[in-house]
Amino acid sequence: MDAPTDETLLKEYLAGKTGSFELLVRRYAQELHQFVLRFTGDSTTAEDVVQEAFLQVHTSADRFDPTRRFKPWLFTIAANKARDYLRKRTRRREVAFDAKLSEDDESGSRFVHLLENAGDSPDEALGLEEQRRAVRGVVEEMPDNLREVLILAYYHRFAYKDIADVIGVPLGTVKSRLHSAVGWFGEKYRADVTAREAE
Amino acid sequence: MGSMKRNLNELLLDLHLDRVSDEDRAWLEAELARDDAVREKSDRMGRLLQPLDHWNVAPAPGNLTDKVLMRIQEESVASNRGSELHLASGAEGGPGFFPFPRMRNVIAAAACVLLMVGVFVPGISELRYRSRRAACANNLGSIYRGLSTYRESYAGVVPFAGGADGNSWLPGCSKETPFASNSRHPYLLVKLELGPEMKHFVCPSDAHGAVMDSAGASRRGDFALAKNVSYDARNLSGGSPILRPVKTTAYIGDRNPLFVNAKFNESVDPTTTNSPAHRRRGQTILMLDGTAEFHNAPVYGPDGDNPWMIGQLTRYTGTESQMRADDAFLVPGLPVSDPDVINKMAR
Repeated sequence: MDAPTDETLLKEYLAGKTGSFELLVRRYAQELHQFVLRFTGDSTTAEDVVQEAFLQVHTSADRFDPTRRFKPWLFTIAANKARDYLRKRTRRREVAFDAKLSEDDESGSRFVHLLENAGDSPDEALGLEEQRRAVRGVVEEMPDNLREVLILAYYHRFAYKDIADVIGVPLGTVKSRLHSAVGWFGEKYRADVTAREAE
Repeated sequence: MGSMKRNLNELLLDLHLDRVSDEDRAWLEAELARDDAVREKSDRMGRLLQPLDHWNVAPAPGNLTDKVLMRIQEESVASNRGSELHLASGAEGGPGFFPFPRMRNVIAAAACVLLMVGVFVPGISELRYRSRRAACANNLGSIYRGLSTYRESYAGVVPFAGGADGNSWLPGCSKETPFASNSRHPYLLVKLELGPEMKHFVCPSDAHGAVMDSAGASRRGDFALAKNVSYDARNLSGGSPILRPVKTTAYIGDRNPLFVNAKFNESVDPTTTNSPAHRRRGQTILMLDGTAEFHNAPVYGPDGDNPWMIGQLTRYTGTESQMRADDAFLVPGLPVSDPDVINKMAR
């Protein structure tokens, strides 16, 4: 027998079957935690956001639009809460996150440039752990709007349309942000690895 | 030409992210077989994305699902309380609602009630206990968020509100030693509005705890009363406070049982006694790496550090401070505006 869909579980929950909600939590708590942890870089925040997101699902379940899918809705709630956290943090941190993308960057010129000119992988001399640290450092420095798209597309394999739903932007913007994110990552990662090797 | 390049790049990215349609995949595979330049570009794309595979993040804690469900249950209980009260008052109302019951019905109903109380009350009590414990860990998690923001802004040090050498952290220690409450330090997290709110400093299991009114918090230097802060924080009073502790040491946690009512209690064995906070079954401790866990004994970590003690010292006068960064020592927060603390300082 096929497992019930998320939407069926939510419907059952609204009809009074409390075990269906627990199944939804068990199905998504881990993945949602990974998403928020990558997005915010903070495990305590990730735990909080997961709890808050499911709490909101619980309180707003009757307002769920049955024509939509549950998973993007859940991630939308979590992404909003994670963004609130990041806004509070950056307001006080004054980091150079205002390295705002120009129109040219937004259209993915870095990405195109890298594909035209990228050489061999620069990180071969680094150990796996150091590569992991470098990747994490570069992605954490990435502007929030690009990081969010990259994480949803690369690590969670969300369809473009679902990403558009989660972050509330048109499909074309999702694509251009993904290109910008990959371009940003490639450029900064290369520079970071080169600097590490020079040390 | 530019738009064709862009389209090819988009398609290659989709191919590497495994989100390309069958039709496009067939076209791309033909192009890759035919054109060396396309193949080279695809290889570059692979090399560009490959490092992202190295970024593994820690799995969610094993009890995350339970925490989520507990949290929801807690909120449901809180939101239903009003309607339960409403129903109860409604049931008392109507005339003839409960007309002349027979004695055997009364006895049967009473027996049912007693049975249900016997069966469910212990379970509910345990559920409440666990729910409070989870809420306590959430409080410490909120405090950690503020703490990490502070550390990002102040070169990795823990919040420090200042204090002269030789200050004591227990009031009335001696006439020569000025008292400086240790709760001034974590208070900086609310004063500077770094995230935690007043409610996060009151453990839900603390029967005497009271959330401080946050109006004017930014103008104060400490909590108003001792009951506004249920948690004991790492000692930063005394001589040479250690402001850069190691990540695996405690920062704040449930009350140290050695110091009850602002006095050192020498009859308590610090090696075995748990905090009074959670039925003395253990204590929730926030470490500087962000973990907030419940420990069944007053030791944690690979070295078995005891947050109630400095090294193996078992007697305290109120001027001691730990000498090693990996030796956490949690001391009570006793604001000087608390009348009890003022009395003790005067002695």
